[in-house]
Amino acid sequence: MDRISYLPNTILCDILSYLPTKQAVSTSILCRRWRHVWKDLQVIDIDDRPFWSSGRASFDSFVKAILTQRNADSYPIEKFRLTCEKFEEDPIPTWFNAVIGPRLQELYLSLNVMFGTNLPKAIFTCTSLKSLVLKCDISLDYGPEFPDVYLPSLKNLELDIAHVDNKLLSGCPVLENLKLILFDMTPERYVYTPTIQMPQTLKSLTFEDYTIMWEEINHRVIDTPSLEYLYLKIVTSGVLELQVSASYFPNMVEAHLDIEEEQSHLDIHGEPVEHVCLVPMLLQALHETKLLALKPYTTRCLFSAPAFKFPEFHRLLNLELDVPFFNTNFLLNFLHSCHVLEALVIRICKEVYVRTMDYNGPTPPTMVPSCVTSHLKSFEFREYQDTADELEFIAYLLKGGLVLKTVTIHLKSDFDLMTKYNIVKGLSAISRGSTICQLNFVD
Amino acid sequence: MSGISDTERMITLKTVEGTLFDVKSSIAKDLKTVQAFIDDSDDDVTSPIPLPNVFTRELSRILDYLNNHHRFRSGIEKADEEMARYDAEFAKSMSHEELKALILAANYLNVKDLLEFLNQTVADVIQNKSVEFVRNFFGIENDYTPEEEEKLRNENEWAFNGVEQD
Repeated sequence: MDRISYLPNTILCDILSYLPTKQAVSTSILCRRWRHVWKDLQVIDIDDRPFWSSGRASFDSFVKAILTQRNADSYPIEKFRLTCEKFEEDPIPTWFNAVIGPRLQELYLSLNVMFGTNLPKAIFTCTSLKSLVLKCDISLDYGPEFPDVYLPSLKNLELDIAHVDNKLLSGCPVLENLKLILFDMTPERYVYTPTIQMPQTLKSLTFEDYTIMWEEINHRVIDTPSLEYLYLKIVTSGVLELQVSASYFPNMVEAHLDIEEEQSHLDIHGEPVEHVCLVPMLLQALHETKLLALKPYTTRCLFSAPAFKFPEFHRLLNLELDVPFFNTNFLLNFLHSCHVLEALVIRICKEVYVRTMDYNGPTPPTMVPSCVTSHLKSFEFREYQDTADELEFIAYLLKGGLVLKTVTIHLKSDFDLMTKYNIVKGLSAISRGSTICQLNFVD
Repeated sequence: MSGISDTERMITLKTVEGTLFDVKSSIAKDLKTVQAFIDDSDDDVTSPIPLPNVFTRELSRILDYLNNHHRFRSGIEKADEEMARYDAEFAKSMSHEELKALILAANYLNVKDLLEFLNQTVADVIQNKSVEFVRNFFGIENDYTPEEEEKLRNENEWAFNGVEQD
């Protein structure tokens, strides 16, 4: 007996709201009771994939029919999702205006647009909007003056586009989550953005910037004292072009840095220019974080940065270091500044180019870092090359790590079986300071 | 039951089969129908509250879900993963009949979060399936005449192309 179908429309619509709208509409054929249920749906999810073979015209009729047949007045759209992977021409037809209504809370557009856009300006003043995701191959180009932006409910913004106007960022007074991915455009369509300023209310920021303009000043301002999560990836051909201003982040929980800076800057005489790398400044701003992950180009800066002194990371529990080469003094200096570190992951990334394998920092103190004796519970070493330095460092941690629980060594993939066997045997024989320490090997 | 604090009152519920369940008042709050009954009785409920539409099997599952979710929410940060694992197991452990019965019970008792979770689970089951499969799942008898059905299919033919054929 079918009792579910006799539940109120609100429950049936809740079920349909988790389905692609195309399938939701097809429920009209189940039986008479279901004929008009889908029309009360306030969640629309449209994908062009099922129409790739039948063509653009049938996709357009599909969308128009949904928007005209549904009960738009009594059930305004609350969530709208459109994924258009194939159809490129004139992608934002007039039916789109009907979507931006007074109850719209979430808008997700993933489009394959080739030539500019005409996203209706009404998007930027939709006061009910809480979440906006735009993934478009476009520059949101409205000519000389970007439209006014006022999005007082917007908490989540994700832009995977070629260029952002600061008006869009400053028009979101309660924004908490921002994901901004600025990718490279063809030279003719490139838009130089001298300054990008992150909204001050942010709690989470993912920022990937591949648009740093060569030979111009590019300023990125991250003045966000409430920030708890940061993923920062910036690719620049020269450090002189990029300025990053970052405030102090007292609430930081997790920070990932991937800053790719070309180091060989020459002055007019052809001599290498002394520079202050922006990574030390960022690390100082991040010194309250609980988790820190540094990609290899980022740590590369620290090796050569003159007089770089590690800030005191007094809350750091998790450290993930990708390094271009192994250097004991560098690692020990880092460990001396992380007083309560519980988990350490080191990865050797040989593919990262370095001019010299020198470390210009100070000699570390002779005593064992306090985090090693009292806090370090897990240590992981990836791409272990079995050099003398690496072996010595692992032995140092095994002996000095009095509360170590697990040590995991990932062996380099091109070691032959005999070598692997000898490495495992050798490391396993080292005496351990912690009675509960387990040594694991991964191929 | 042990570990009851002084401020935590117990409510007794009685299913169709006459089984009695003792429920903490903080959990009973999530059963909005029960809470409304308590509020209407001026908070003075001593005898078991009868639930004439709810069977033991369903109430037991509902209380299990609520107890676990309360536990996850009151604990430390890592609970999100544990909760996701619990929810996945919960969804997997039921047959289609049990899933439908649970929706009816959750609807009667007005347990909002659980109902949404169950609706999502139903959507997962019927996603991209044929019309016949969906009719079968719900136990729907097709009451269209062949002419009506033909007309409906033609009106919105784009909605029906590409779906798994029966």
